[in-house]
Amino acid sequence: MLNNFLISFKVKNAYIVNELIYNISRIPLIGKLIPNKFYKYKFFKIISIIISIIYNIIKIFGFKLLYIYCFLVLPFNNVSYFALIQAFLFLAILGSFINTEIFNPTKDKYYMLILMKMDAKSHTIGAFLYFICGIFIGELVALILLTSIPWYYSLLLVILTIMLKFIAINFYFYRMKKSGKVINENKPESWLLYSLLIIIFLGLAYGLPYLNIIIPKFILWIFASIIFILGLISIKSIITYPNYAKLYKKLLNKDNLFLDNFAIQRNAQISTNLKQISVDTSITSEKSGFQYFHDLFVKRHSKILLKSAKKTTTGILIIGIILIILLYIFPEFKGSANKIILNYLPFVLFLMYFINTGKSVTNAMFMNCDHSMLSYRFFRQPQTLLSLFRERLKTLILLNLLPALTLSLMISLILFVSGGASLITYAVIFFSILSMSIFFSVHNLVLYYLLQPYNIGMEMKSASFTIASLITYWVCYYISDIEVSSLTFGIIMIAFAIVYSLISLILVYKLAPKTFRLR
Amino acid sequence: MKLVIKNLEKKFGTKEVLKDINFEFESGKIYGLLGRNGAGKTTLFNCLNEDLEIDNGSFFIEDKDTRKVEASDIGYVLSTPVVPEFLTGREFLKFFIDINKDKITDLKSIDEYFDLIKLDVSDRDKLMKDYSHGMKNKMQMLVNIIANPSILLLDEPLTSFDVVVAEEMKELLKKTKKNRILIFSTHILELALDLCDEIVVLNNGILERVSKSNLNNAKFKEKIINVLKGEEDA
Repeated sequence: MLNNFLISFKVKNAYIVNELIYNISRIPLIGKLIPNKFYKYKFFKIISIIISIIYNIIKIFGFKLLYIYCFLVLPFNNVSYFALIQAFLFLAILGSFINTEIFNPTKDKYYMLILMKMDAKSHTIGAFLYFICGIFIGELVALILLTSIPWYYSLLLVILTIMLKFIAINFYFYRMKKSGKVINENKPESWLLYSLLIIIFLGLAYGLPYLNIIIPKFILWIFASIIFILGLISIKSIITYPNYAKLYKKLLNKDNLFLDNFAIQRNAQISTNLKQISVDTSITSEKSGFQYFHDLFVKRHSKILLKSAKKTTTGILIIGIILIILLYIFPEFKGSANKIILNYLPFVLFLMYFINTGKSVTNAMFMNCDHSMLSYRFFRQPQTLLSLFRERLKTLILLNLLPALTLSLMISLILFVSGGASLITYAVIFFSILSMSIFFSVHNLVLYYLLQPYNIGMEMKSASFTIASLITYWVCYYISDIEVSSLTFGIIMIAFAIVYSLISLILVYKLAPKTFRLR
Repeated sequence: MKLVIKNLEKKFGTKEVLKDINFEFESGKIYGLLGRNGAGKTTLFNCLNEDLEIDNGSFFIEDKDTRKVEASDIGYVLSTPVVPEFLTGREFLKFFIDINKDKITDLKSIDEYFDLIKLDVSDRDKLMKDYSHGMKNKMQMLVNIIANPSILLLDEPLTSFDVVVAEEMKELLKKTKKNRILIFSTHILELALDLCDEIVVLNNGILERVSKSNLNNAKFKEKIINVLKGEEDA
């Protein structure tokens, strides 16, 4: 068992350091400085063992100290130590069912039991013993150091906590046997019951002392004795449980685990993407060529393409109507509202940056269309690329016009309600918001075509795309802070959007046939 | 018509995957491209299809004159078939025919094309996301054949087919080799011997023809394996 435990520890260290090197190697520019041979350097393994030991010490002492401080010290002021014991016990009951270690599907277990075929029972018992020892030492030290509970009661509480874990595990074994379903402590069968139990036990832990209700000592002693006896009985079942291998075979599946494994992530991504395609057999198109291809793409992805635009439009409508009602109820704010609209149009640019659906649309285009089509050489021909680009740009502009028009109308309405402005101001604000929307639609699609950020494995992996996105964000943020009249800014924005769109389109026509390809 | 490769080189970092490739492929023949795992077969295909930029050398078509290999000259069937999964098989073919009308000689109806790859009638109007690996592979092969490219690169295309479909596809490839160069990469030696007119081996970055001369199949196999192991020159 000890040998298995040490092997797990070494394997865990190895993959932690390998993941670290791998993740650093994927950082743009810095990654190029990390050669593959870094994986074999013992130096990193030693560092990882040191980090791992420090992490485990922090986990045992630090986390337990933090837990006792946050849950037992901070919420109570001037209460008897018996009230603390009472609260601790209710929290321990709750914790024993939430955190059993055995029913927690972790990456370590996946690697050791599924990939490395280690004996499930000896690995589980070894890991569980380590977990229990951590609770014993960590909680005992924390209770003695941070609370007024005497050491002998602290010792008793820690033993009871461990016994409660044994009982919870045994209860889960029983539930599994009855229902035939595997229990995952992170995914309760009924979230409602789970939340209700949490509320009840937290209520008992904190509510009773606040209401000055202290359970008589003898009841607590009886309760403690029952826990102790049941706990002792449960130990046997944990040690002799014959189905650990079966349990983990079912528990350690890809739905329960967050794995960094690229292939698994990719399969999950592919399956999510495919679910976005509408299976409605009545969808057809009367068009031909690229228009036909694009039309079917849009129709079969209308749900995902429209989802974000619809949500944003609804949000704008609700906020706009609330603001208009508020202005009617509190007319004293009309002046300020009018002033804000007439002077803070640059902020709308920042807002438009967030509500533009360009990124989610290009993501859908890549995942469900370009990822496969770019493998075909005909699809990469300049004529083909540009014909499709035109169709896509039209769609993207239309999709984003819905929230942009709503925003323009709402801002114009608020401006009108709050005192109005000249007709030219209305027109400039209205058209500048539309031009912002068109600008971001063009910008997102042009960036996608010029810096195609995805690799063949569907990962977004392009330093230049990341930098361009950051610059866009930074410029929008910087502009949002500029104090300029909405009229001036609106006129500049309209002119800029026209010039930018023209230049970008020329760049796409010249460069996209070379840049828009699989990496 | 010939596809001529001269002094082609491709490196990934410091690793030279293709070193000074010199070869002439002739039309009307199926070439079996053999190589061990990681030998660079897919890299060679990707270079010829201009998915990867070559570091050195050139390749061109030699007919009456010599000319650059154009996009329309090459069809490339990938080992992992990729198709636009949001379309039905029929819609994909319609789109492909729509945009390639000018290049397709002897245009057939969509169903006639489906008959060519023996795709079941009930599957023709299904979304391709519900197609099996083999069906996607058939579709990919079909669109590459329809456009009538003079060079067809096939990267392990038959491995995902069941024995019956594999036989059908072999027959289809034999039929399509006229006036075309078919380069067929595979790990299966028997398949290469059965289907291909010439065997070429990519070993240590060098492409070389393994000539059968008067050898019987068993001896020829042994010779190819020795070349793959790098133990004997062809």
